[in-house]
Amino acid sequence: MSSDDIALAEKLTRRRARGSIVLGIFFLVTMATSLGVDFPANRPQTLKLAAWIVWAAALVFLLAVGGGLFRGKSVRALMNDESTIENRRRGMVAGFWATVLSAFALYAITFYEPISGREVIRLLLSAAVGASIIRFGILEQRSLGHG
Amino acid sequence: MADKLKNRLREARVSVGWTQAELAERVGVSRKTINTVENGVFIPSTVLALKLARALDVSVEGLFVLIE
Repeated sequence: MSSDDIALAEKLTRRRARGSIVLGIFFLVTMATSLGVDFPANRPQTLKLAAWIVWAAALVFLLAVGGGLFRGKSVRALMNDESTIENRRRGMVAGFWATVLSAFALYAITFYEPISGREVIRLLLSAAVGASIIRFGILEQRSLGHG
Repeated sequence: MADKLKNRLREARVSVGWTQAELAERVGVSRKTINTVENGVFIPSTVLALKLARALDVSVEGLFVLIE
């Protein structure tokens, strides 16, 4: 493990932290602006929904793998060391609670307004992925601090 | 749990004249991890605690102290 690896891992970790926050917020905003879109016959909106599920899968992949796929083994190890694993775990806990709270809210809403199964899945998945990735990014930013 | 563990990692590191990045390189973790341990944000695993102690040539008890 060289000082170059340490420096590169630091740069990529900083980029990942910033990217996680920005992409997470953008993901939630996009989801919020497409609420009520549930018409498969409408081609542009179907495309929008397809893009959303691809994006959700990409964010889950980023959260689970942590990036640095095309870098060396040592850089990848540095990018996913103990503190990152802890931050990821805490991010996923945030995602869990966001999903639980969203589920409670959706359950209450269904008494007043019907919601399709697809829409419920989108909302719950968005809460889980969005909260996890944003929390992970914030924790990583804080951990990087000043050095 | 976290508020009951004090660490002297920063003092030990500074006493040998290393930066966080230098200590990170010797131990095989990121500088971020060293930073979070020093600030008490993250409690390292036993393995990492032993590696830190070995790199700084002190005992684990010399680095981490339980506050009664």
